[in-house]
Amino acid sequence: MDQISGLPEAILHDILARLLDRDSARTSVLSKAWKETWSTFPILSICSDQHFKREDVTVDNYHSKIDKVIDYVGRRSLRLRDLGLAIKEFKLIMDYVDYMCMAHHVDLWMKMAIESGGEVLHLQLRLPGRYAWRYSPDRFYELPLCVIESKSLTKLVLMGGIRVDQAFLTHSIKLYSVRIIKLCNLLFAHERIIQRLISRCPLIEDLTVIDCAVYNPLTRGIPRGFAFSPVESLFLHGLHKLKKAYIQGMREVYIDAPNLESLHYNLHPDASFKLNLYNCTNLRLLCLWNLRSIDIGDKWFLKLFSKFPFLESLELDNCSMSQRINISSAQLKVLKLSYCSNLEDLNIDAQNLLSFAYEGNNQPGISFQKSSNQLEVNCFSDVDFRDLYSLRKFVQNIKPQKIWASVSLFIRSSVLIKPEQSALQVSSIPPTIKSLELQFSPKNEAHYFPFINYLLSSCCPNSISLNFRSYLHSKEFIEFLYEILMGRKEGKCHCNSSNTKCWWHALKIVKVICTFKIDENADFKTMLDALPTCHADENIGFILELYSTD
Amino acid sequence: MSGISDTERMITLKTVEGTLFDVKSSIAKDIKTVQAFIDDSDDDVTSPIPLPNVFTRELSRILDYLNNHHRFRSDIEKADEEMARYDAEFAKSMSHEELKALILAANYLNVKDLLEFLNQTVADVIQNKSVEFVRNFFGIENDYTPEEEEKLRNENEWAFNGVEQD
Repeated sequence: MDQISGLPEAILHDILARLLDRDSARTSVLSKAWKETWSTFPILSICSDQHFKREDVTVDNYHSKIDKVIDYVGRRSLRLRDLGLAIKEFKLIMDYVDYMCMAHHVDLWMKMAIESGGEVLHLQLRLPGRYAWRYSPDRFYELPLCVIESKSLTKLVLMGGIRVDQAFLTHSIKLYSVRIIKLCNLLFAHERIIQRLISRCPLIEDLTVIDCAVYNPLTRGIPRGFAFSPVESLFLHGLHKLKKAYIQGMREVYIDAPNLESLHYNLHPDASFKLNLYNCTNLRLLCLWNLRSIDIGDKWFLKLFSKFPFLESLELDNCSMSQRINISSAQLKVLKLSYCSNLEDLNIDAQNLLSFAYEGNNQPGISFQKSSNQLEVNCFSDVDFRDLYSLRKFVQNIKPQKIWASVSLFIRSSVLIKPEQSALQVSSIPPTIKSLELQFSPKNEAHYFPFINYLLSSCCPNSISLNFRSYLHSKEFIEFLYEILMGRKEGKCHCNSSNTKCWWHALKIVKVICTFKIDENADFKTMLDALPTCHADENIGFILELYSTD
Repeated sequence: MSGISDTERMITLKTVEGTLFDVKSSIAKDIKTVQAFIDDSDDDVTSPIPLPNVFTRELSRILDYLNNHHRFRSDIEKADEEMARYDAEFAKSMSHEELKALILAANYLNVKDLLEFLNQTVADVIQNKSVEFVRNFFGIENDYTPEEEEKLRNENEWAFNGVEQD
């Protein structure tokens, strides 16, 4: 026998588990031994996009395609049952498929998976269209009660297009082994079902609840859409094992979990909110989105750090802030502020901070007291040609100056009004920063120079990197940038019109580093030629070595 | 356990052929079967630990892999890049016979990261490739009659759409 076929079954199964459904299914055709391995493979995973492409589905062939899926799942589940094997993992992803015609089959498969001692159940039935809530509750798949009778399940994932009926409010829950629960876009008959379900899982470690709704079965006749309301509150008591929670779309959350380490809380943008965390003294990571009902100020931060003495990672996104903020914490290691409104002045006193990230349209003055020498500062910025000095001012307003050497600037997109060719004339050398990463470049060749001029007049990066993807950067742009840096576009800059020379003319070496495999001595041209054939996610990096300006 | 490499305790492993390998205790930690042996002996390991299922060639490669990965991890700056390069070379340098022997050894010794990496290496070959390509690549003998194979292909017709033509 060949080398691979003779490996133990458990290893072959691990290899199959690393493949897409259709790749693993094809191995059954390799040989009789592989068919045997395939038939005992305990993961039964069905993704609609693996079985048929959406664009290939027509009214005429729809049922025959669904029938084939039903036939396939039936064959595999029966085979496992006949062999007395568990369906360890049952994963059914029927996105944007009208599965009503197969609902009773789904019931049967779930029952077989649960009764066989299944450990992972993943059911995802997203409805067509963006707003699932305009459907009548009848269009949602009714979750069978057998799911909560499973003592062997360790992971339960339910997403979209699934309805959890009144019976779940009283039926006995036996999910004693569940460690991970993810509930996303579900429809509940009663608000209390969610927390009943979760609080009966004593071993739960990882919980995700995203945008769930409640329907009132009695309100038939009321126009559709009014019968639904978001699940408003979640009260979680005494979850001693809970370590991670991700909650989105609720107004009121109460968590009492002494071992909670990480909390993501994303509230509805226009909701006033209540977040009560009791006994969560082990919290290490906190992410808050859309906190707009209060202005976060110094007091808020003081209270936060005293309440959570181990908090080391804090992320605030789309939150409302005071104009001046002082953040003082000895334990904080990671801080990220994104699109926080009102902020003008930020003062950070965190000696152990290793990473600070900032993104937003307003560009506050940022100063660091007692900073660690390992601190990395990442700023995400959009190019705005309406205010050509803004980026430079932003970098210069990072204090003290020694921090500049740890700043990485990420250029993401551009407010593209037509840039003036000669608008920006800078008389002094801009701040030297660690790196500049271009996640955007202009499509129009006429904008290349103004764009590059704008960037290089705002900062002197030690390196410039581009993630090469053909839809992001054209080869022409990369070549143009290289030529500018090599000083081969003399006529294009401001050296002639002003007294100082553009700093990049003083570059001693422009060393190009490619991360994809290519001969180390290849010249720039060869690298560029090799680009389209390499993998889309490869980086091409330019390392610039600066001439001493003394 | 001391974290200082100079004074670190050494553990001796003995292969089927009787070759002895001295291993730092921090490396032995990643070899779960060995670590279990140490734990069972209350850390009192003085004589070589016998590995009745592991041959010298495989153990030397596994230790090479672990030593390098430890070295990469200690240098955070370049860790990912260098590790990826090393892993790619490591995977390329193996014949199918060596790959199989190494998988079996990593499985027996319970070296999780390496086993996952080796299994992924096999999966990468199969991914998006035709049945013929995979048979050829690993030398898998087709023991179906043409009729049997045709029937199986029809049953799994969906799995053959959009496969890379080699």
